[in-house]
Amino acid sequence: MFERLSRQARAAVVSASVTALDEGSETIEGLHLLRALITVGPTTPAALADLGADVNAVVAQAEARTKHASTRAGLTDEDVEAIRTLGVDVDALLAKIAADLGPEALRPRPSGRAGRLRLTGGGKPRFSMTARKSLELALRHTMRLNEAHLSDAHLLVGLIRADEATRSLLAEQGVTETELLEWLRRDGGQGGGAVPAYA
Amino acid sequence: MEETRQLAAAASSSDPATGLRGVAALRRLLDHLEDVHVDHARGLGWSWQEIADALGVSRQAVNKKHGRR
Repeated sequence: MFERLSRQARAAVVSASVTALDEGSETIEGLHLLRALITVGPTTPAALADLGADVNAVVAQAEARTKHASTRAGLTDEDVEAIRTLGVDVDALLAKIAADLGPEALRPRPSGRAGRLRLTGGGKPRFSMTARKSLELALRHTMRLNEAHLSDAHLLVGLIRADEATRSLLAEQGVTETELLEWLRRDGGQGGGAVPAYA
Repeated sequence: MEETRQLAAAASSSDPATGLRGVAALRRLLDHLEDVHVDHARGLGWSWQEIADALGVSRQAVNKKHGRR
């Protein structure tokens, strides 16, 4: 998979994994990838800005949300909501753990089974479930367009399709999948030659 | 708060996607809880065998999952 990534997309994945490590996150989340895509640029920040999003706010929000998760057993807001639908009050449960065992108990274990950001065979870092799904959809998108490499733009499409945290954050900024695809079709050509037919 | 809870309850009523997502997230939470309590027990000097007995699994299973750290 990694060898299919364009240089920009590869840089984004590497940047996201560094950010995840820095935050002590057990996984590379979709929001880490979104921030990385904005940092690596230029397609993602251009697309978001053109579609009316405040790019700095997107970065700040994404950072706040992943950092929040890293002090809450690695659970995202969506995870907490999902568990709540089963009738379990996660916040009460975590508050009890923190009270009994100290707040450090809520940090994902840095070097344990679930807590390790592994660089396993082939140098692949460990992605969250939705981040992995995003990469898969991005790859499928790339193949449907008959392109050789999974570009940063394709990765963004994968994220907005498969990562709920990315989709809701961008929706708050008024950016939807439809608009993004439209923008990419219109302005997202890598320049020189045919503009890829985004569909 | 009560309102959130009602919304959440409503969301769970019939949608399999919601239920399954909840189960997946809860499993991650459980894994974390297990990590925390195994670490705690080890910190208090519990043996792998004692931890395994308490968890109701084999010593090998616990060691494979949590050992060599």
